[in-house]
Amino acid sequence: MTVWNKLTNRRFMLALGLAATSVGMALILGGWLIDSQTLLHGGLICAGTGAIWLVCARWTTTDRMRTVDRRYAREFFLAMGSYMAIMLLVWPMLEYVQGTAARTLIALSPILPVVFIGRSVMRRVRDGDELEQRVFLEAAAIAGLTVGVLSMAAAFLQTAGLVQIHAGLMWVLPGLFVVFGIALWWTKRRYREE
Amino acid sequence: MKNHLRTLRNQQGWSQAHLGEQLDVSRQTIIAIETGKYDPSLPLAFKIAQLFDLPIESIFIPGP
Repeated sequence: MTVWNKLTNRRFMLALGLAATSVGMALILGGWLIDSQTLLHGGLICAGTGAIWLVCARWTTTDRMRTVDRRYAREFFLAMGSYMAIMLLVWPMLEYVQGTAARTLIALSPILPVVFIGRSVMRRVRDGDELEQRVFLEAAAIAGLTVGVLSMAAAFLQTAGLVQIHAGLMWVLPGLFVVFGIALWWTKRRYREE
Repeated sequence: MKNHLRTLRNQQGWSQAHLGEQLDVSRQTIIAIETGKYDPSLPLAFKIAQLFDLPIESIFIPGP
């Protein structure tokens, strides 16, 4: 049995948190050394996410990861890593590229890993057991409704000239993922021990 | 719906994780069934009955 097969949920979360925090710190250092705002912001998001994962590990189970979870982790973080690499290495090229076709290609390049992130989530939901599927459905409904209502509220405020949200539509998908994650944790609690 | 799943599992000396692996469900699902917070589907109930070699009605008791 390989180390990957013996991995527990908590150890995975700890490893992920440490990796993200280390990469984040390296990016912050790199951004500070070469004076790059992109690297600094990317590093802060990465280190912040890693710190959240490290804290969350405290409440993560010590069960051995199931096959579906290992596959999901592999697919999701590979896609997420590609997304971050594209955002840090390819996206900044927009400043130097002039042609419409090349700019379109660079601008749309982060979409490919996002599609793979969505695919990994869909496969995890599809292969979950019956209770997991019910929990996923409830969390998805909460996320859809919350982000839908917040988007509409933001659109009304912007139309009324009260707020100015830069690239507002870009926040919809990350918002869905974040609220889905919180709703998943909240929904799972209802089915936990006495 | 009440059930005797915890008693039956303990009689076999199985952990919740082990039972979950045999039924191809997560440990959280086993916990939810044992505590009565979730009633399994008919296919899963049959799978449980088959695993313990018992009729469904001797594991699951209808009621609030």
